Amino acid sequence: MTPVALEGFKTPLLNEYGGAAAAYSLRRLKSWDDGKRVVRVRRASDNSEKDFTAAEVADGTLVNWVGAGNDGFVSTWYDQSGNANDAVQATTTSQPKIVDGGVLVTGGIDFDGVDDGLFTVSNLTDTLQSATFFAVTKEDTTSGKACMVRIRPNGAPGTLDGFSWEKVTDDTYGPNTLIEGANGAVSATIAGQGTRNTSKNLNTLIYQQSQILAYENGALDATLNTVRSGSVPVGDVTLVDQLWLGQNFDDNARPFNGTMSEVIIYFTDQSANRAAIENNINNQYDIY
Amino acid sequence: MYLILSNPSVEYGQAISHELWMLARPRGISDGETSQFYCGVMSHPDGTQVAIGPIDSDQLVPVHAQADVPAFVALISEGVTAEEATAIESAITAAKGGGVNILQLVESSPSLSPNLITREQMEATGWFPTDEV
Repeated sequence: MTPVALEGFKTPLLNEYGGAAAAYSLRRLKSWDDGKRVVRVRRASDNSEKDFTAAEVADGTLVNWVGAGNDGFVSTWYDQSGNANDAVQATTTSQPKIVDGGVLVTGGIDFDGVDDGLFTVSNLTDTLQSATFFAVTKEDTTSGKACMVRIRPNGAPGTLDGFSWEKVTDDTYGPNTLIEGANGAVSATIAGQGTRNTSKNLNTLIYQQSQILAYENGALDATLNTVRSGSVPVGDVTLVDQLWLGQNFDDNARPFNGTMSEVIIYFTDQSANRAAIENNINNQYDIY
Repeated sequence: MYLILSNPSVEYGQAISHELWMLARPRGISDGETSQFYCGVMSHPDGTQVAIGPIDSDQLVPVHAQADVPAFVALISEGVTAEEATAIESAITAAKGGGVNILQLVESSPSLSPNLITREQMEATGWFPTDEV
């Protein structure tokens, strides 16, 4: 029997396109369970913390709890993939803001560009050949380096496996946007690629064995295929690091200055589903 | 501002940052909360220095009525004189139920104030590597 689609009810993204390694949003991404928490917030007035569902973020419950004129900060952005890769920030001065002066931040979670960031408590450990990042962000600046999403320890190309998306001044994809595996690393050019802007964007990066396909707002923006070390195909990528959002806390910082609405990460090549996932995201955020 | 610590240990920096936050949210109250540290801890790539920060000039850290002030003061005592430790403990204790400006406390300590450093100074002196991936 074919399920009947009920008007007004949308299947959550991860129910249609499962298998994500980590997924962060303030909207509900998985299951029909409205009781699932999506974010944990610290209110500055008394520093107490509370979990909130997507519905409670949207219907004003969160803002009411933070209180008129007060600020609220994200201490945990819950992973909705089911893998418990929650992104946390235990240091209060580094927690991104979600309520500013009693008003819900427009565009998601606001990173200050100084020291804000979120990361998983534990390392993500896996061996894989490809990955796909979907991210809805809006920057306040086009200058400076910004660590957007990263699963790789610090170190020169040729030394450490992982994935990274990092911006540099005026370029959406800095040279540290790379995939590195057992045989080598592929990245953007040293000069950088893509035109960085301050609009709200949906960026999709598909990390493959010999290139990274970088899409912006549904269209191919750049093909990153500079061999930074070794040879291609890059081979098995052995992950042994935390997932970092908005800053690389391993030690070289590079803080993102702007808002993040949603980040979804697959440890697979999602080329076949890319357009459909992007449509789902765009239907939610009306980006392009 | 950031404060370079007398002991170049990340663990020591984390302990100070944690005890600073315990002034606001003491053990028993903050149990189960994600927030556990007041500020960040960073180490110089050459391994010789550790700093905590940022410490905002206009931010008051709320001091809870149940704050264990002696525990915090004991932790920093190796970097200050006995007189400075007493003055810091008195200032924080007097602020229970209100707030204390950490930067002003540091600036008032002759042992600590020379170790304050700005973000720009840190960047200029190589605290944040620029060539690593």
